[in-house]
Amino acid sequence: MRLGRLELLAFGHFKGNVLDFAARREQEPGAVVPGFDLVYGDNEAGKSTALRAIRALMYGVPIQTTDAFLHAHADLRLAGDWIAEDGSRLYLVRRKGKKNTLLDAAGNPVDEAVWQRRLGGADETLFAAMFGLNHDTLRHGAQSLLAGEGKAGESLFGASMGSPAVRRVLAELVKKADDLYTPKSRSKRINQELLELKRIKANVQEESVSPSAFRDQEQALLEERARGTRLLATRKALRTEQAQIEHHLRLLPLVAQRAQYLAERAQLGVIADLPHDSEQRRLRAERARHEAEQNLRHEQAEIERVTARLARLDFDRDLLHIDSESLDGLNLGLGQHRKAQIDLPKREGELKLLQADADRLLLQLGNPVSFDRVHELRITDNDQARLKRLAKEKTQFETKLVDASGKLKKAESALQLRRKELEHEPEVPDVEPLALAIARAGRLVGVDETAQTQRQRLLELEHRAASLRARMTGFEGAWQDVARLPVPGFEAIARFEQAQVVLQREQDEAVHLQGRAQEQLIDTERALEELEGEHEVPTEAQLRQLRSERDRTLEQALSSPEPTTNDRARESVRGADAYADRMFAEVHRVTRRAALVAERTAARERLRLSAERREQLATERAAQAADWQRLWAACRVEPASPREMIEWLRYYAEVVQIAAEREALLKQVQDAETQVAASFDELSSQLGAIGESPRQLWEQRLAQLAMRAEAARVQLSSRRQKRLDLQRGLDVEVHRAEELQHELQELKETERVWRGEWQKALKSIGLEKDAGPDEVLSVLERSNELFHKLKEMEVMQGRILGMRRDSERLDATVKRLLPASLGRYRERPLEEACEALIREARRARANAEESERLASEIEQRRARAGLAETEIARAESELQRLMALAKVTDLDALARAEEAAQRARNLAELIVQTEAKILALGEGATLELLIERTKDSVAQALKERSLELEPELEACDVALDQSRAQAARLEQHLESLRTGASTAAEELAAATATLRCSVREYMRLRLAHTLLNDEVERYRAAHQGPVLGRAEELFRRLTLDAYSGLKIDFDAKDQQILLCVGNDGRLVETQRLSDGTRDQLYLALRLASLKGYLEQQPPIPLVLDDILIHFDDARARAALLVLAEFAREVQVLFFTHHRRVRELAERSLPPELLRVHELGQRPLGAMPEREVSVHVQ
Amino acid sequence: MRFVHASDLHVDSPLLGLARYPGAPVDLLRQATRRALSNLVRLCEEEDVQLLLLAGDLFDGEWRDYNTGLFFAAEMARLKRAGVRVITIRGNHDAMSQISKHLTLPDNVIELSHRSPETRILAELGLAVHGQSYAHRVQTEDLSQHYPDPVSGYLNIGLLHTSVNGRPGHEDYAPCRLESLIAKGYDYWALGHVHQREVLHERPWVVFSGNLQGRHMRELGPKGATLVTYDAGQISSVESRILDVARWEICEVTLSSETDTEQALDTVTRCLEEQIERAGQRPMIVRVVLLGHTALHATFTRDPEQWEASVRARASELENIWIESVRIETSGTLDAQALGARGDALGQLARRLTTLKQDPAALGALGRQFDELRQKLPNEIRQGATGLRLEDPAELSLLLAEVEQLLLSQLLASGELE
Repeated sequence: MRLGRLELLAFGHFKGNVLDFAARREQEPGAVVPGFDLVYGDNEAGKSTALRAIRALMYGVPIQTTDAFLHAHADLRLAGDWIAEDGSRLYLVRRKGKKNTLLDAAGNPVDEAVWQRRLGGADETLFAAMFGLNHDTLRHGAQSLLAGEGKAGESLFGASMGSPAVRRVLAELVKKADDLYTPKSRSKRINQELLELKRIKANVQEESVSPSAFRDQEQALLEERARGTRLLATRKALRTEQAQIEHHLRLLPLVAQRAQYLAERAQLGVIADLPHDSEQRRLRAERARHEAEQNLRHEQAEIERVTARLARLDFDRDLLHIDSESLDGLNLGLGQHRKAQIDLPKREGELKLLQADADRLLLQLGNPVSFDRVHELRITDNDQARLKRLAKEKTQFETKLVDASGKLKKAESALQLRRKELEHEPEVPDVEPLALAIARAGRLVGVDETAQTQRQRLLELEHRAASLRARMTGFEGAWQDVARLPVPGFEAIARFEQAQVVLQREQDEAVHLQGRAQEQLIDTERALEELEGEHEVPTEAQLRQLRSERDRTLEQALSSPEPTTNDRARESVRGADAYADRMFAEVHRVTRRAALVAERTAARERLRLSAERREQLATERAAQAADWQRLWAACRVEPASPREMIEWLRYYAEVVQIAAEREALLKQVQDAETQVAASFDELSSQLGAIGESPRQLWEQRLAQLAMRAEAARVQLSSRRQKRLDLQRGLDVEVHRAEELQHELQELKETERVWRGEWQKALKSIGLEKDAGPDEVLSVLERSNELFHKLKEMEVMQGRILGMRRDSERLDATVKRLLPASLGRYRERPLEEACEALIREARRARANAEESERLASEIEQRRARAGLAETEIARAESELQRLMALAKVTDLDALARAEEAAQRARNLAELIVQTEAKILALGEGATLELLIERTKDSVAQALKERSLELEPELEACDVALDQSRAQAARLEQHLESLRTGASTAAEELAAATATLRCSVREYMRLRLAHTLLNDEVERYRAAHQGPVLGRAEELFRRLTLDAYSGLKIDFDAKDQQILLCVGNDGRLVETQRLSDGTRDQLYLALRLASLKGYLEQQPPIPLVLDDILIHFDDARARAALLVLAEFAREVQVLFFTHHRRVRELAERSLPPELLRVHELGQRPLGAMPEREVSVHVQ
Repeated sequence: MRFVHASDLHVDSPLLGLARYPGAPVDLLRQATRRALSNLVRLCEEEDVQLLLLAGDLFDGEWRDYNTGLFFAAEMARLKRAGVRVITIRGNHDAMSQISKHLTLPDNVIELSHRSPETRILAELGLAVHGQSYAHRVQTEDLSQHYPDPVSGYLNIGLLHTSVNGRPGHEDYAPCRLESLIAKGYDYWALGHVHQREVLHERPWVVFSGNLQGRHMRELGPKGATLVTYDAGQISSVESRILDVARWEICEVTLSSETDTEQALDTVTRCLEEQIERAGQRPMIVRVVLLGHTALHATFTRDPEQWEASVRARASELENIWIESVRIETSGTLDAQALGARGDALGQLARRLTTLKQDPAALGALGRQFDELRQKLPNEIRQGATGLRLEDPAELSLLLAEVEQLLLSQLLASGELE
């Protein structure tokens, strides 16, 4: 499966762009190889977006994507045209969404599972790991080789699955597990939880309580509570007595105090009926009267002072008629008048100078007229502009004429020089046929090199086939004959092997059974001999015989009267009984013997059967051997054992495969050599045609001849180019001379037209027709200056007139405003009169305002004096009232009466308060009763008793606290007994659960580590050979033979590590490789693993993103060639933004494989494909 | 007239498998079995029942704490004050109990003999109660076959601690056949021993009332007693009454479109809230099981402890809920079966893990690396319904499923293109 076309319909910044990977290959006839597609794009061209697009097309657009900034999520669309190995095509569209995101061309949903099967089951992770590689993952992988110190298993495992994370994962698992538990630690989590569990278990044990313990606790609590009750009663009695003593001690001073207050009140006698605020009222009235008297004196003095000042003010009331606006106007007019007095002489001088300049200019114009007619000399603006333009044009075309004439002369002399050079340069033959021949040869250089490699490969194949043929024992022919052998099938041989194994197993079994039967027989007979060797074992046969004898003699005795017969019968009966008794007594020996006899019989039977079976098996083996020989007869091969012949068959299969491969390869080589030979001939012929010697003997390779031809072509091309350059130079000079002549003619025509127009213009301003531009420009300048001076004169005259008018107007105004009091100024100069008027008018206005303000102040002060007099009268009245109430006539007596009244009031208040305090302590008793109670009490005695009570109470309190604390302890203990054990059990359950979780997590991590470690080693053991073999070859090529191979060896810790074998045989550890070489080692391992994958699964595109940026040019070229070989099996999509890599690819890779696509600003589909050219190095 | 049938009180048996963590509602669950017994007594008081039948396993046998007995006695005294009589038998756990040897129960409590079946006739209630206590912990004989015939003129009740003809998760003690119980002619068989409520037969009624309070994750759902109403020698109704104080539940959360852990936590929270609503404000102990096909699978398996802590932190914002554990049974974009088809090293690892799960011998060998740790662990870790058996291949196989996800997700977490 390869990607024929990627359509970026709406994705990232793309809209309707196309990357076509198929077009060129389809034009080629025959088998189509997947090919090497190099996608080149500068930064920001969209290379990363295109990479993401390929993955999204295959596996869906991620839920969170950065490619929806231009198009809405729902509008994201990609399409791809997929080409299977059999050439069938599949067009699929991918949209962003949650389901049914894969659509066919008609927009119908496509089952993802079906698509996954088309990809050979490669899911997204596999694709990312196995088929996606960028410079970061390459460097990361190489770093992991470094971090892993080249451990063989991890290196191979990581490279196989495209993930360099193996080492990190292993390390993390160990760290996490060790954080949980290590056998000797006390601080790790599980170790601590174990200690905690132990503590809780002990606690559970402690908390469990027996019935007797519980009851003891209950009894102790009851007793303590009773003691507490007793102590409470004692303390209550003591506190009651103490309270009574304190009561009396508080009452006694209050009663004494009351008596003292009553005595003092009696001493005061009769008290005047003054109001309680009498003193404040008296003081207030005295203070008011004093302040009012002071105010009155002050206001009277001020009125006198202001009246005097008002009388002193003097001014002319006529001047008050001049308002402030008129005064400001006078002031301004005075300033202007003073300035005009200074400026007027200057302006009149300037006017005279202007007049003199105008006279001079009029004279210079050479056409004197009076000032009244001077306007007749004015030249219009249009005439002036035309004259200036014509004057400027004359200068320009005169300069051009001189310049063109000089250039024409120079061009004509250069033309002569070029013609002479060309005549001296000989003709050169056409090099195009030679260039074409070189280009064709260039395309075949790779073919030639490949053919050479293939020739080598052919030799290797033949050598390998011969080597394999030598291992095919029993066959005498050549290896070329092997393919024609009618060898039996693998299944038939396997069947024979199976049958042989079965027969062998049965034979072994039969031998084993026979041996065991023989051993059992011997053992049984030996046991019988031992049994019977001790003494005779009674047998049933012997017993039967004795009983028969007994019966017979008994019969005889019964029928014969002979005593001997009876004796014999008796003897016989006794003998039989004795024998039976003996059997009974020795029953175990009897049964043992019977068992041994039975066993012996069975062993003999087994022995016989085993022998028969062995004979039967021997016959079957002979028949099988004969069949085996017959099977191989047609091949004329003497067969070894089936197992060996299976191996033989493998050699056979390999030889056949090699023969087929050699055949195909030979055909390729021959085709290539034919093409190369034709190219040799063509190049020789072309070289002859240009006078070079044809192919030399030393030129064995096409590249060598092509190189010489290229050198010749370059030399010829250089000569041809030189002649072409000369001819081109001559043509240029001719053309230039013609252009200059044409330009000269045009300039002369322009001059003629100008002259006519110039004369017409001169005439319009009255100049002679031969006047030059400089003369005309001078006239224009003077005329303009004259009219400018006239304008200035006009302005100056206006200003002088204005100054004189302003002075006259000011003089009239001053004379009109001057009052009679200032009549003396009428005869004074204007400036002095104006200044006096302004000064006096301002003084009159100020004095008038001050006069008004002083009059107002006198009125206010008179009003304040009146108020002070009223206040004095009111204060006097209040004082008279108070003295009348106190029945006194002076203020001192009034003060004494007030003091006595206040003291009487205070004493009454104190008596009431004291009696209230006594009643408050009395608990309901009357005042009289309480006073009576204290009559006989002695304070000192009470105090002494109180001191005695203190320690008694303290002792009682301490005992009570102790009792309560003890009871609380007992209650608490009892409560803890009630719930302690169950709480401890809950804690135990919780701690157990916690530990269980931790142990489970520890096991999970440990198991994961063990399994991954085992698998890494298993993978190494299983794949070390094939993967390493492939990687070795790739590494050698990627390092340009700096390293010849890879080797697994043991390090100091007896761990298997990966070593690189230098071209001088030295072994280099991965840590000692340079960064670049380590990258190449990791790339070799990755590609070797990929090769293994591709042997089992169908290919999907290998997507590479600038993986060569750390490679130098030579190694990058080698890597490109290695990848190009992959491109024959799997499509390689190589993205780069390095022009150098692109150039290397274009120079190095076979044209039938390489195709370059350029990502740019223009729509991709609209971009013309670059033709790929091959250069001979 | 009414009586209540209860069994398997297991007073003071702790709740198992609850690891403490910050924010766990420890106090809510403290002494849950005692509080459930108090609920039973309150039911008798409120429903005005005349008799309480307790069909065995009032205590855990190993228990030696006198206070457990005192508490039980106090609750029985409450029943005495309410005029409720109590008839009990001993079950397999009680048979070994040391508590009752020293315990004096109020005289309203009758314990039936362990020597032979005994009948108590409560004439004023119209009831004849037959039963026999366990003499030993292991009772392999069918006790019911020796129970006396029904007493005529009374409502006959058989009190028996049995697994009938076997119940999963329960020892097969005092085995008997349902048919023989039915044939006995009693009106009601009040059975104990099986902790899940079950009505085996109606008329005559054969009923397991189940235990009062779930104690671990295998005792899910509502728990309580059975309230029976009878009149004139006929049972008119048999009702279940919920009495547990904390509920054990499994909260299965199916994740699919969640793109980050915050969203996943929101989904879990919603599911927990629904559970709380169903439990009716009762404290809950919940095992959160994450299911579904989610892109977050790798995140969960990479550090399950961290994830479990996050779920617990969220749950502590809700009221009355204790997260027993968080089980990650999601499937990710990784399918071990599909990965096994890969030809690379990861495929080999996936295949190895798959075959290992079905290979007890290899699992056993793997488990031997924990021998040293196993010796240090106390018995409590291995015992009980929630025990961890380090050497058990089945346990290791379960663990291996988690290991599989851990390894595959971690190995695939790197090596990405771009």
